[in-house]
Amino acid sequence: MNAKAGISAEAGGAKKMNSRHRGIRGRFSPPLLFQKLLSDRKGSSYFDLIIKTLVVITLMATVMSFLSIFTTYLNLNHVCRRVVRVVELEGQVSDKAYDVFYRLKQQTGLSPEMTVEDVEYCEGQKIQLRDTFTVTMEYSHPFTIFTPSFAPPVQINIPMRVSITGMSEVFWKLPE
Amino acid sequence: MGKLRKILNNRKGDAFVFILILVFFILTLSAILIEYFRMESLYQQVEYVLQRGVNASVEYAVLDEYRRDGYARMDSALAEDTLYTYLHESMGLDTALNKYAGEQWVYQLEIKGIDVTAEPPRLTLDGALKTRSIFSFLTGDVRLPFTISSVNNRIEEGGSE
Repeated sequence: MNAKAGISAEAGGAKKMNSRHRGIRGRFSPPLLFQKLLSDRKGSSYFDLIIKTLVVITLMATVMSFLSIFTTYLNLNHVCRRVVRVVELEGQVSDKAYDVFYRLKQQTGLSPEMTVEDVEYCEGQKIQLRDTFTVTMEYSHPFTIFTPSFAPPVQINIPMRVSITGMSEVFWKLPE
Repeated sequence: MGKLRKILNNRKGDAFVFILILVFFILTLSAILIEYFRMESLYQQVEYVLQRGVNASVEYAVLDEYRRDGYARMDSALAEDTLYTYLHESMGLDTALNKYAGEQWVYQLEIKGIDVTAEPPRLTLDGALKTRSIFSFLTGDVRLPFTISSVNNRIEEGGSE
């Protein structure tokens, strides 16, 4: 009666599934070639090395970019120290001190703001022998985190402040 | 004796001992480097401050009445006095030239000699900076010698043009 019920699929009871339409793992599984590539372990150490190299290079680039912060701080410190020394030797906040400041600004590429504090001027901008003063420099360092090609660079501003105290080395004879 | 030989011949845990030796070596090397840079920094700071003091002393003691006539001459005794005043008042050293940071001793200045000449006005300070390092139990106190000199030959008026 129902002759086909006892016949196996192989014998003609049903058509064999087309392997082009259905893969081993289901309807939407990736093509066989790609799967082979994924499961193939040949050359895996090569890819491993490439990934490790990329990670190391990224880490090094990160460290290098952080170093720029320290370099900037050292430069700011150097500028401040030099200006303090000039004021010490001149015994006054003279044009020479500002000249050195502007020259160092050009050399280092920084644009800090300079203030002279805690000072007692004796005449004009003169500082009496062994009187102390403090030169403060403030600068905001723009640290670039990344630069996308389609947008302006993403930056954070790191505020820096250096204060160095000096002492006048010039004796000013003041009119009595 | 036999027990000691057994311990020495036993190779169990040798990697652990090796790591211990390596860590000790790295820590010692780091400590030496840090200590070296600390002392170098201290020496430079003291030298800078002393140079400032010597310059200031000579500047203060130069006799203006001679300068007016085109001679550079200095009051030697005044220069020496001014230097000691600077050491005590500006550098904050005590009578034995010890420097303290709060309660803690930092260094001592050992002055071997002060050579002052009136003409040309020159002051030379010769001495050593005595300080302690973390290796003092091996080396004792460390002495860093210095010679600081200042000459003032300027005969025109004023500190700046």
